[in-house]
Amino acid sequence: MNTHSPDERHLGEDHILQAVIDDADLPALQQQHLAECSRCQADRERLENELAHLGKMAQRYTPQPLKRIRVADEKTRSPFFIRGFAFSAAAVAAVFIVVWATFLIRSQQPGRIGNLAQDMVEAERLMTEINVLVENALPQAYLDIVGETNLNLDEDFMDFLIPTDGGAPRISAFAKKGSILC
Amino acid sequence: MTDTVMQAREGNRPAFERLIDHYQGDIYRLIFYRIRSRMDAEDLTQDVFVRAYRSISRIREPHKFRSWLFRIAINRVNDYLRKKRVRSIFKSSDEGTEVQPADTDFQDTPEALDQVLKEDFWRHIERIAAKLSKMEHEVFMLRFMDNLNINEIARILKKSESTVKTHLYRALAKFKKEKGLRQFLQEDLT
Repeated sequence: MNTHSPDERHLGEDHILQAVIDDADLPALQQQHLAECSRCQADRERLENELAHLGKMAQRYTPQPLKRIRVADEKTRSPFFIRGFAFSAAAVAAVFIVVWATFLIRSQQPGRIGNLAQDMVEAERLMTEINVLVENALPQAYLDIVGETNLNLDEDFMDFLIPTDGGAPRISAFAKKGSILC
Repeated sequence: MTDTVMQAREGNRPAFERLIDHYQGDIYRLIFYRIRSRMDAEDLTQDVFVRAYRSISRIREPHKFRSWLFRIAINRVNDYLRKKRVRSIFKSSDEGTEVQPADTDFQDTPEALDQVLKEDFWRHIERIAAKLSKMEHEVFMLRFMDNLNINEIARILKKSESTVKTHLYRALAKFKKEKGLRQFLQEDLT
């Protein structure tokens, strides 16, 4: 800290800095020199002026406050308290909404899957009934009389029993080809 | 002022309002220098005085009111900056800064020049702040921008005077090397 300037008669930079901070901290010799030397005094003043001007400029370039400070009564809450309370309330509300929405979705999802499964089972049962009726349209009592539950009727027989639209296709087709009708 | 502090300590509200009138400019500037946002500086200033009002009855040495008040302000600024750092993690980089409206019609007016000088000044301050340690920065600001003496700074920061002087010496040594800022100050001086 106490390095000396090349010119022993004048204060070095470190002593000037010390003098700016508190000249009482300078060694006695340097204090005496500073008190007598106009050049060292000028060096110190230059730095002090710069620093003082720094403070003035900071003040100049600070915008004027628009709000008036009020400490009305005990009810007065700091704006940061109010802001903090608002944030907390908003956070609690957000958590409540998220929890409620999650609960709602969860309560709906299993029901929806349950309904779907139930619908599928119903459809399956209905299709089974239809298939049974397609295979054997006669009621069970009539099937018991016939003695056969599965007649295994082929397409030709069914066509014979229930002709398709447009008359008797196979017979008329034969007739067109010149076959003899029996 | 000590009498006023003593009256305020006894619950005299007009006395506390006189203290507000006397110190609000200093506190507002101290806060603005550190957070560079007018609106937040206003809110923090209000908050500092609300806190001071609530706990002034506990102040033992009325003559130390100024440094006590400044310590509340410094603590509130540090809280604010800490919270801001946390919030900045969740925000994009351009949020939370006050943007001055640009008016191209006034580019050549004295107001525009003043605006440029103002921006330059704070840019220089930011540049030197980046080169100082936290403690060097704090003592430098308190001494040369807030115009407090060494004893007050030591009380506010709860450090010894010699510690404050050591940090101040280091800060000044760095300031002396900051040619840009010094030239800027010299030009404004002349």
